[in-house]
Amino acid sequence: MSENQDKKNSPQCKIDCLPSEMILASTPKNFFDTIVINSFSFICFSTSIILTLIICAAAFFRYILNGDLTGYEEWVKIFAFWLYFSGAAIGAYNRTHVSADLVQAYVADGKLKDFLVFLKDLITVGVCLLFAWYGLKFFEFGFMGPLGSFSDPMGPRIAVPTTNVWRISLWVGYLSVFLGLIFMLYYFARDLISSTRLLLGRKNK
Amino acid sequence: MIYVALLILVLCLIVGVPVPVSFMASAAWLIFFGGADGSGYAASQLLPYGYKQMDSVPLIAIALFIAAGGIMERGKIGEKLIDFVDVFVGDLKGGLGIVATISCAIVGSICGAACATLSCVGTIVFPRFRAEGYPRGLSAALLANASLLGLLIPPNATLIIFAWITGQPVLACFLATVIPGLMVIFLICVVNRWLLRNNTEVVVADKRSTGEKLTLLRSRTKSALPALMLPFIVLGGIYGGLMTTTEASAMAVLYAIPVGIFVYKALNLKNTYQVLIESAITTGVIMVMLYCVAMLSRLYLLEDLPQVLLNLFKAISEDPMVIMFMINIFLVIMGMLMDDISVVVLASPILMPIILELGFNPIHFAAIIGVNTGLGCITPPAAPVLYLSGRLGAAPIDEMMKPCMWFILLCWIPVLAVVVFFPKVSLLLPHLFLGTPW
Repeated sequence: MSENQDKKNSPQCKIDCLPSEMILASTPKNFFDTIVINSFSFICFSTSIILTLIICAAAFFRYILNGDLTGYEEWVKIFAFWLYFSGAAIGAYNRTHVSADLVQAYVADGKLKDFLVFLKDLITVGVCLLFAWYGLKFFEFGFMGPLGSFSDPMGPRIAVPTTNVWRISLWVGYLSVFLGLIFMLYYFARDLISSTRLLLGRKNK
Repeated sequence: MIYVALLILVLCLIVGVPVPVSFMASAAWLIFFGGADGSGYAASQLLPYGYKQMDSVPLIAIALFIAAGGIMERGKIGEKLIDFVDVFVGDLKGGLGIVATISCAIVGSICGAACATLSCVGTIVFPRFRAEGYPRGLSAALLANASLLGLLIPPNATLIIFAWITGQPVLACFLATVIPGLMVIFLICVVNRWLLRNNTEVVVADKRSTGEKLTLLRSRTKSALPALMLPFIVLGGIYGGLMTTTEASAMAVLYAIPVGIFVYKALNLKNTYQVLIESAITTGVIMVMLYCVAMLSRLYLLEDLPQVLLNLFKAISEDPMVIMFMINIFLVIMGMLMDDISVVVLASPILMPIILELGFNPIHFAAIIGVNTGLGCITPPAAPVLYLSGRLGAAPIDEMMKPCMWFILLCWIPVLAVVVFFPKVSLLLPHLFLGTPW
């Protein structure tokens, strides 16, 4: 049996940490995706570097200089959220989110499989849409505060939540959650369109 | 309502809905129809709750360990470590299998994720397995099993997540899986040699004299020294009390990048950029799952799911050991359907209250869940590590299954039984070093 046939016969399963050649972000095909994926990639790279440097600097200050980087955790956590949700958005684009994928592995090609894939994508988009809406509300809460004070752009911002030491507005972190959910929704919707076309018998690729 | 929520979760997982979205779907049902009167829960508190739970510095260690693992793989740091281990056992029959197993333990202790370990060691060792005439099914099954040592030899992402979810000390959880990890290493090496006992096709390297070994050791130690410093920094930093886990992970990244670029010359700015993005994608996928499980577990606790499950177990038997046995079966079945991280994020918040009520030590449970998730990762139908190993080693699944079953029967199940029924095995190191009560 050839190597290719062997690979084809092996069940596939998406997993938490694929090797680089499998997880590598495929080159975006349209202008919008290029902008989105490159922006998120840049955020991922820069936040990874910044997190590494800040945490190492904090350790250096604490153990070598017996000093303290006051409130560095506040910055680190915000960068971390941008890293997490940017990575998740690219993960949705690359289709690398963890799933059991028993249908892909064990259901034979045909209408039933197409329908199950369509159903999977439909559920995914529906649920993601709901949580993207909650994400928007969450971001609005951080941006306007509990009193909705930012509804008057010229007025004072009342009780807008901030961090304790550096007074960083929390919406900076909340925005990453909202954007991550929105772009996950966008790419899941792309998959839904693709599976709908497949189900209806139109060639997509 | 909780049963419907669980049913939705299981159905979504079976259909192939991404795990975090399956968690969201189950949570959505409870948002609309949960609660004693079926009026649901306030959705406005859910995302802020998840955010607050995730707003944690220790969790950043997961991201940085994954990045360090990626850099090790691309920066040829793993290759140098494998060459170093080869000096000691490379000339035995089945020696390459032992080299691969020990290398997986070392690499896994740094990058902390099974698939990252597998791809790092597998890409280097599979061509050598082929060259030495190893049966491809055996080599793929061996690597799949050995790569799971990253789940047992600390530090690792799974136990950081377990500690974060259950509020247990990370170091104690790390130490709890060390002895089970060493037992698995030993047993994998023994079973590998046993499976090769009648094989005449495997090429055995000429026996090296002590002088040759010393010469080889000198030259390989010299080239592997920068790579060997990496586990020294990570493990020494954490267990020496010099650094927290997060700081050790950041140090690992900061150290590995220049070693990959300037010492081994396998990295440049372009592939460093690439590897950090790939690591970020993996991190993002895991973290969104954690965010969702934080929200879902809150709803499950409001619905009193642990008590419901406990009552279910108690209907069968009141004996804590029998219930523990059932919990293990439950974990193995979950492991057969999901990957390691998903099992830990879903099972820990639900099972921990039961474990505490039954009077078991939560650190003991850390070891149980560690071994169980390892076992689940190589047990079909959803055996991600096994399939990945098959793909990397170009081995069809039917050739892998027989040796894999031997590894499961002779390595994982005995170790799991020892860990479950002899708690002192996993509690010994936490007790000695951290004073964790028996």
